[in-house]
Amino acid sequence: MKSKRRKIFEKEVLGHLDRLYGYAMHLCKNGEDASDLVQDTYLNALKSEKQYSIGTNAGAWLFTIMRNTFLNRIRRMSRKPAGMAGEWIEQMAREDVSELRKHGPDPSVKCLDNLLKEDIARAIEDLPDEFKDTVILCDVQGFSYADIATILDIPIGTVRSRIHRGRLILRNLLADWKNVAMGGS
Amino acid sequence: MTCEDAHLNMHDYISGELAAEQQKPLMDHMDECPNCREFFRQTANIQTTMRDFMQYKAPHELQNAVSSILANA
Repeated sequence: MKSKRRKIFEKEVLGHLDRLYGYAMHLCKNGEDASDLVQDTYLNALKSEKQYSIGTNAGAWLFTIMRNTFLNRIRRMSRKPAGMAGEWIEQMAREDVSELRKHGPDPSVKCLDNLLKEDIARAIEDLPDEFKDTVILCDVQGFSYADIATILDIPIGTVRSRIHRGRLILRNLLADWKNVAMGGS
Repeated sequence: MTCEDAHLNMHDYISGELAAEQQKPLMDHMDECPNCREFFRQTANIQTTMRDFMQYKAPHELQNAVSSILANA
């Protein structure tokens, strides 16, 4: 017979399944590995169940467990996570924010109004990992800066600056591709 | 408010992190500055599009597997 606490715990953690699968897809890049990661995350969450206070922030707690589970898996496999950025994107990541803003707004980036799923997916994949994680947790998963700081184990100021910079890089990538596609210079 | 401040604040606004008392100065600046207004519109549009496109639904097999993990623990 399950305790009342246990029933509430299950309900709270199950409510995040779709979001966890989405984040796992971002981390693993394929459905099979993502499903494995989600299951491992729930197994690890059960092991740490006593550390969770019912009615607090199950989302941030589970995402932290998922990220740690994923990083442990990567360490065991001794490989770098997928999605390494190209040199010019790394350069953009190092540029001063004021330089990043030089792209606009101008008439040529009106084409940012009609974005395709493929454009967005490609631009996100090309973001350097530290920006990608932060932007996805904020803009796709809807976490607060404080939650993201907990999940990624970084200071809140770093979260804020990575979101600002990550969005600018993303925007510039999209503007560049769209401009080329439309015959711009 | 300068355009530099507006850029910083508009990212926090889009994130839902801008304090209430800072929202009106940002809106006032964007009323006056078409460049910042357009930049805000584009940035918010990218975020909305990204959020819409990147929503996933866990497959039924995974839903069953997780339910089983929780039930058998």
